Amino acid sequence: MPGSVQNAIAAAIPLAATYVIAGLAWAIIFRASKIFNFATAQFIVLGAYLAYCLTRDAHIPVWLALILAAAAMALIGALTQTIFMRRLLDASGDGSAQASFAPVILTFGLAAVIEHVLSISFGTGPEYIASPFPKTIFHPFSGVVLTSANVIIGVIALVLWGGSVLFIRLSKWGMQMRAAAEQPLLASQSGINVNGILIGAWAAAAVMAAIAGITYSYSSVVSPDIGNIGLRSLAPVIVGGMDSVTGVLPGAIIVALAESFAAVGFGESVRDAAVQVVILAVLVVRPSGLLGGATVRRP
Amino acid sequence: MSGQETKQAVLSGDANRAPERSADRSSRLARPALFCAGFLALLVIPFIANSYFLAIAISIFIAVIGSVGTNLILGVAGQASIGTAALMAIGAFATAQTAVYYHWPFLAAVLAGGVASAVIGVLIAIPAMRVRGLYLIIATLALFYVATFLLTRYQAAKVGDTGFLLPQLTFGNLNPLVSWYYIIGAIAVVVVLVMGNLLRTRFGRAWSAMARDEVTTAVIGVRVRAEKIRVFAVSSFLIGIAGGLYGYYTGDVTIGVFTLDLAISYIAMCVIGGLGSVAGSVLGAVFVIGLPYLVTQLTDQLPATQAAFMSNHVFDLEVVVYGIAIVGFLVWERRGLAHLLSRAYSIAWSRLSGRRGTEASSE
Repeated sequence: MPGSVQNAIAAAIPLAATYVIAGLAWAIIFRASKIFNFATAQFIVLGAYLAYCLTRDAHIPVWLALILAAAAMALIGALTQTIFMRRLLDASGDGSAQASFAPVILTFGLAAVIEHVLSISFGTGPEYIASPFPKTIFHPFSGVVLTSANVIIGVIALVLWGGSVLFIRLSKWGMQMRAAAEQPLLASQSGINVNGILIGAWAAAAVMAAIAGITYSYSSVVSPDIGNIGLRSLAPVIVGGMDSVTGVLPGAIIVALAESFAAVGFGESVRDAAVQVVILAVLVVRPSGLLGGATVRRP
Repeated sequence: MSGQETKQAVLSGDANRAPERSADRSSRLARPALFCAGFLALLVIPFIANSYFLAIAISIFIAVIGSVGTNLILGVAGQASIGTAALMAIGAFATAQTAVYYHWPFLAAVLAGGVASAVIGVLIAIPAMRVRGLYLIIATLALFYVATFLLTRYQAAKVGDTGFLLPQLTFGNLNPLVSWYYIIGAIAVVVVLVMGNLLRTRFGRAWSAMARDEVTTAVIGVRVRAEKIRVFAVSSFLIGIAGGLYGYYTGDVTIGVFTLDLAISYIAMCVIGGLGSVAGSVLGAVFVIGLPYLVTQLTDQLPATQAAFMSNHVFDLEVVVYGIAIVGFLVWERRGLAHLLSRAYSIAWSRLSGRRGTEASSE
């Protein structure tokens, strides 16, 4: 059915854009400190609610609300590293397995707190933010329909991705971040402010999460359910390679296509499961993903 | 912090366990006496407690079985698994399947739940050989979603939204709640005692060595792969039993209750109680399960407006509190409630016996 193929591709494009932005939130933190931040989903929801509050209560223009909410999230991300993660990463040098996953468990605790504080404050009902983008419709190929919001968010995603990749590859801070991730102790002894780098990484990741949440909520709603996109966006990161920020883009495209084709072919209910099957397949066949470096363990 | 200092911190962390033992030696009779008192208290509770309290106690017993299993994989073996909710669901569904369609008796059906869960646990252990550490979290998370998806489909095909209605156990003239209390309580006590001893056998030692360093563990002659499969099997078996008991006790198995929040609540039990500690699993279960009831009790003491707020948000508040507890214990006291209590106990004991305890002086 050619029509459904086009439907699937049209659905995959905005999804891939959101996956790129949210995937960056996962990948940047992993790149800097080798942990998963499972509060990413809640950062996404929190960012969207902040933007919603700013537009509703303070009557701030929608685009300014996006910037202010992202800035507020940067602060929250930085505080997370400063208050909690720093202490745990200090202790994780003892090499035991429990110490290595303690920071990840902590992010689960953080996620639970944010999620349920939001649920107390806002309830579960959907809220709306008006989209700031014009409602023009494009037909890039026959049968494929894209709105201007899709295109703009796609461009934002590409810019954020390209910016992150170049920043990590070329800038001094990016190089320091890679050094800090590889050998925190050695990096700190050669004068790199490892904690400062991690604060920056957490702030940047929280900003990505906020942008992902807010742009997603333009075409959807503001509700706790959009956190769903946060957990699902782990899949592109795994496919692309957990420690590869570059891999987020190909990962996002592959997962978004796989998901959309599964949803078109077998119905909407297989969507989540399709993502998880992709994750499991990658973990079993090639745990380092498309572009990730294979980890070598030395005793 | 330099590597040397870190190592020092670890060593002193280990050393902190030794004074506990020496405190035990000074109180050789006190510990067993405490256990006997606790056991007797468990026995007489149904005669003095109301049915509300009994229901809480039964929930705690089920949670104790599950958290002992979760803590074995998470705290003892150091395998970062968050598959507890999925494994519980598999246990509950296998119990429901065998009880409803094959008419197996209660214990056989619950055991079937444990075995089904153990089989899936072993299947997780196979990727766990390949994916190490944090990747295992992702693999178990994916397992959770896949299992939820398949079981939702299965439930929809078989029974629909109401779920599997399990046969009611009849206890003759006995009060069903009291009977449930003794049955599940007995299983929980057996699980706790067996696990406490299992951790001191060669298997338990091998599992906790694995968490420290797999290569060294292999060098001292432990077959790491075999032990990993074994520890996944044992842990999943216990979690499956907890799922099966939960299904039988509530009489209704639906996929809806086995959420990611449930898995996180079990992780909370392990972290709050103390990773790798059996006593910690028990304390954590009491804390996490008892918490909402405590919140409800507190509600009655508050002015009406706050009380209304509290009762509207009991569930949210509960998760917020144990989320904060996870964060707080990880940051400030990794060894959990079990360590705090045993420290309080040995300090109290040394005061009582008029000596300065080694623990008190070393801190």
